[in-house]
Amino acid sequence: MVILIGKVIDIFIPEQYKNDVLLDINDRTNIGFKVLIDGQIKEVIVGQDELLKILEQEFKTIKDINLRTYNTIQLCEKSFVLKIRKQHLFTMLMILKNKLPKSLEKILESLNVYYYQKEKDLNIQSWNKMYKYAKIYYEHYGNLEVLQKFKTNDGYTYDEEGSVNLGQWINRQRNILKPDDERYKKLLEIGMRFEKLDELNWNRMYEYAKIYYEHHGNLEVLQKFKTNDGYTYDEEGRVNLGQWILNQRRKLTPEDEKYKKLLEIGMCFKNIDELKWDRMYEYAKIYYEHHGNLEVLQKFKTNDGYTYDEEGNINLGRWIHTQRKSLSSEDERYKKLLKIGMNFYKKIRSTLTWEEMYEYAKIYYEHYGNLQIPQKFKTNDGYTYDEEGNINLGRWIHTQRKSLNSEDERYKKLLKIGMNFYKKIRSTLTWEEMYEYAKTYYEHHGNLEISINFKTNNGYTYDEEGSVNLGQWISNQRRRLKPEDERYETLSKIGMIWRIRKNKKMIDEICSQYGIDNNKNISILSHISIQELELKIRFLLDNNLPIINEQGILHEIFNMSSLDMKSKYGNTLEELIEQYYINNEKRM
Amino acid sequence: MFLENYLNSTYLDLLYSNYEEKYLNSLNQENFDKIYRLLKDKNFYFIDDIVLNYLELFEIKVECINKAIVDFESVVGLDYVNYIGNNMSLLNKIIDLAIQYSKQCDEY
Repeated sequence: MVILIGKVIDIFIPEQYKNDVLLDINDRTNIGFKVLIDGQIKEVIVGQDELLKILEQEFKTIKDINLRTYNTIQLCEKSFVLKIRKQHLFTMLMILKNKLPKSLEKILESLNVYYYQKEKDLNIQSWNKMYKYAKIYYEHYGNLEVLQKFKTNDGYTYDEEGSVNLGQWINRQRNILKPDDERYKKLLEIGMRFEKLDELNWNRMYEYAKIYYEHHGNLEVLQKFKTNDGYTYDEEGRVNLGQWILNQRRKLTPEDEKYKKLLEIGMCFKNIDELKWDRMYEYAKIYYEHHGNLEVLQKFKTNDGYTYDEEGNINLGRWIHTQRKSLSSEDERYKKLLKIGMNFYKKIRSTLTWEEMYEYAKIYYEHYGNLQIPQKFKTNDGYTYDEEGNINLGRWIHTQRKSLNSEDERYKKLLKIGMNFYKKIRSTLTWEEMYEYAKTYYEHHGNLEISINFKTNNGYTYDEEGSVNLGQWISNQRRRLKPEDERYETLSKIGMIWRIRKNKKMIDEICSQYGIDNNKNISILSHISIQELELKIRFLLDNNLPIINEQGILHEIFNMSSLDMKSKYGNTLEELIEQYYINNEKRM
Repeated sequence: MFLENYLNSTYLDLLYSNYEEKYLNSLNQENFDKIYRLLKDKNFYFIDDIVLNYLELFEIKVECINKAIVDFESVVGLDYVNYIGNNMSLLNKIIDLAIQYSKQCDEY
């Protein structure tokens, strides 16, 4: 608030408002004071609301209103003489009516009369005349929700230079009329709403927003969106819904009732940047769903996300280009775009570095779990085959396979993402190549405990679809190789498990003890456990049965299943264990 | 060890005393189970004995084992299971046949 120290000797209308005939107290137009301070007159500009505050404070001391000129209030105690244009003075007094001393009521009444007389004199539009304009407006638009700046000549067409300032008049009526006024009732009849303008506007705009939501299922309204019906864009539309939505997004907080009301009709209060990005992302997604990639030309414009339209509103190409340049791999947005095929390494193939190609290989590996890439494989995103693709990943992988050796760092990097440096069709893999896979496995796991169905592409990771059946190969080697073979020794060095059975020495000892020929009985002796061999020998001995026949072949009991032995010789294997081992232990 | 799900404790003790632990660790349960069920379907009544002494059989692809058994049956006749039960070393024939079939698929 401006504090005036000194004698206010005049009030004046600043230059810019001088031609404003119906200066309204509510429009916060500034009023100037000429103040005498220390013998000098200074101009001080004060808002009307502040002037009102001064008047409110000083009203009790008003002694006189100079009725001769009707433009002066003398605030005696401070000797202020406020000179004010009559209509302004009247408006102020009307606002402060209830605070006026009773002695001044009569003065005010006569001032009222004078004001209207003066109004006529000044050829200002009469109330009835203005009412007629208001009625015309109502007949055209069905309401009296007139913007304050609305000027017209015919009552319904906006004309910047119009002589009838209908907007301001309507607004003034809203402020000054009371429900018991005849005029109030007359205006009600033609659709006047006397609620506060802001409230009125907000509800009206909310209704438009609701219509928009009902038509489009969201409130993602472009800032420039204007409309007359709430859902159709009209460049000349009088309802600037886009701007209004934007304003609400900026100023409302979650505590506001209005915020909650807007939420109910799909308002998204994300900041505009987020909204824009999400909207563009949706277009990009549509493009990807149609084309399988995001290889969008920079000039690509569209309206639907996938059809090129020279006049399109959505400049998807430029947006993609910007994202490619601006996002880093840490950004959430980067990851979101990757998911819909964004290629952040868009360059012509010849200029891609090894690391960039490696990134593509990595993407391929993350998608397919291997690097079994056909030589002709081209792509733009690293995993989708595209005959016209810029990235000839297949050829690059082939070149790496041929050129790198196991000492290279790059060789190791590629191994980590499933590179198979011995990729050939299975039937042509040599023993040495298979050995390399076995060695890789050993280096990773520290052993060759490989199950028979272990398949792989890189030598150490199990892959159900792997092209190298390492488990089967290991199993085959175990059966085929003999200790005197050079390969036996080679495999031994990397942890090959040759012996799958224990106690071979003890079996040999028992055989020699009972005169059993190893070679003649190899099919039994290479499978039977030491315990079973011992038990069955004891059983045969106890029952006076021969351990071997005349040809040196072991008794049939050694070849029998447990149940067959039971049916022919009265005991299962378990019963023999019970009889000879457990009972013996108990006796001991 | 998954074999505990298939064998009783007496047979398990025998198994552990017969095979190297490393080898037992390298066995694949899925393949084992497939062959176990195949033998059961074919009414092998002595599968535990086979596990005990012919564990290699459970390393081979089930398709190859099946083919080998079918071939064996065509030579020996319908009573082939009892025939094997009385002479389990015949399982060596089946293993050899199955390996041959698997070699035809996987030439190393």
